[in-house]
Formats: sequence, C-alpha cells, structure tokens
Amino acid sequence: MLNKYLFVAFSALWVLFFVYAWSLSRRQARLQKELEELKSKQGVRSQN
Amino acid sequence: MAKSLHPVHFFVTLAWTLLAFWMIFLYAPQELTMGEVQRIFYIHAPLAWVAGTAYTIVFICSVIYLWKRSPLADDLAHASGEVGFIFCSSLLFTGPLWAKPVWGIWWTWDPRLTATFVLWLLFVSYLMLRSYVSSPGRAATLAAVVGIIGFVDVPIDYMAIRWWRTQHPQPVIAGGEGSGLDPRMFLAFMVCVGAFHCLFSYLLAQRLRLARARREVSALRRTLGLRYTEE
Repeated sequence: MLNKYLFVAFSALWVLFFVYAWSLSRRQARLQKELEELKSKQGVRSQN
Repeated sequence: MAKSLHPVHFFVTLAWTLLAFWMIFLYAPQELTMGEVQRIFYIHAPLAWVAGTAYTIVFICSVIYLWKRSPLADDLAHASGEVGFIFCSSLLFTGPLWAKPVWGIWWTWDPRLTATFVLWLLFVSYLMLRSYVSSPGRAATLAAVVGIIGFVDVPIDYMAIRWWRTQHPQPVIAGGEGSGLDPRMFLAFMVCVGAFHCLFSYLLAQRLRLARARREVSALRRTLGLRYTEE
C-alpha cells in the first residue's frame, strides 16, 4: 500500500501545478480577449 | 515560432514527467532504512534545484534590467519569480511530509531549512513588491534590487549542508567521499531533475507569454488614450 505521506506529497504537488497552469491559461484568455477588443477599437478609430 | 513550439514543449514535458513517474515508482529500488516514503526524495530534491534555478534567473535578469533597462529581462525576471515561488512552496510542502515519518518532527530551524524558508520569503517579497508598487517602472527597478540582493541566499542554501552539521541529510550528489546513490536511484533522480526543469521551462514560457500580452494591452490602451491599468 502506498505510504500516506508519499501519497499526500505527490497528489498535492500535482494539484498545485494543475491549478497554477489553469490560472495561467485563464489569465491568458482574458488578456487575449481584451487585446482583440482594443484592436477592433483601434481599427474603428483609424477608419474614422 | 514560439507559438509553434508550444505543443511540442507541452508534449515533451508530459512525456518526460510520465517517464519520471515510472522511474520513481517502478524503476528505482526501495531504500532500506526509510522504505517507501524515501521516494519523496525524487520530487523534493529536484524541486530544490528548480527553485535555485528560478532565483538565479531572477538575479541574472535583474542585473540585465538595471543595466540595459530591457523590458524582456524584466518580464523574464517577473515570470521566473512567480513560477519559482510555486516550486519553492512545493519544496517547503514536501519537505515536512518526508521529515515527519523519518525524523519524527515536521520542521526544525536548522541552517538548510532556514535558508530555504528565507528563499521562499524572498520570492514572496519579490512578488508583493511587484504588485503593491503602482508605477510599473518603479516596481521593476525595486524588484530588480531585491532580486539581486536576495541572491546571496542561493549559495548559502546550497552550501548549508556542507558548511554546517544539520538535521537535514548531508549531500548525496557532489557531497564528496562517502556520499553517493545507487546507480538506479541516481538515474531516476537525474531524470526527475530534467523533468522538473522541463516543467519549469514550460510554465515559465507560458508566464512570459502572459507578460508580453500584458505589455501589448498596456501599449494599445495608451495609444487609444484609455486609462492605463496594470492587472
């Protein structure tokens, strides 16, 4: 049977990394959306 | 180019991590005195190596930033500080989980553990400084100063188990006479060091992309005359 300390160390480590990677992708998606909105605003201004 | 490398980097990291897992649980022999729990070593020690690498990147990029005022160096230092904080926190979490069954205590203020805790505090201060100083230019300069001064802790942390008698085990890699590992343990350990560095570089690249996108957004906002916001 897997030692309980070993189990906690491995599972917590990977949960932490997945949460961090997920938070990075969320932040990236939000910035990407903002970037597209700003670019479209810039396009409208240059047309006017 | 960076975008096209992204999936390759991801799959290399994934494959390397799976190989490391296989080596930890199926390839490396069980240690005689500590038993199964010793396998924490294969994640704990590589996390320490990566935390050292991360702070070294912060240091080098901080020097470059103060010298050349390069935004890329500043972004890389910030990214390495944030990803390094995740690795250093994991290091401080896995250490007590190994210490408790082996030493009978979760923590002790011996030189190695204290130096590692100081390293973690340096990562925290670096990130807090970056988020609390409102002017981005001033935050970058102050953070670079912290990044440079704080680097003094990295060699102290590395050498602590060589300079002083500590509760923490003496070095098994590059520890001189009497130290060393079983060849299969050593191979598993080196694969784990590689896997964690690969994972670090992947997260660092993602965090750097985020910083570049943030700069682009800020520049566009300025061009459009919108209020400057720093997330």
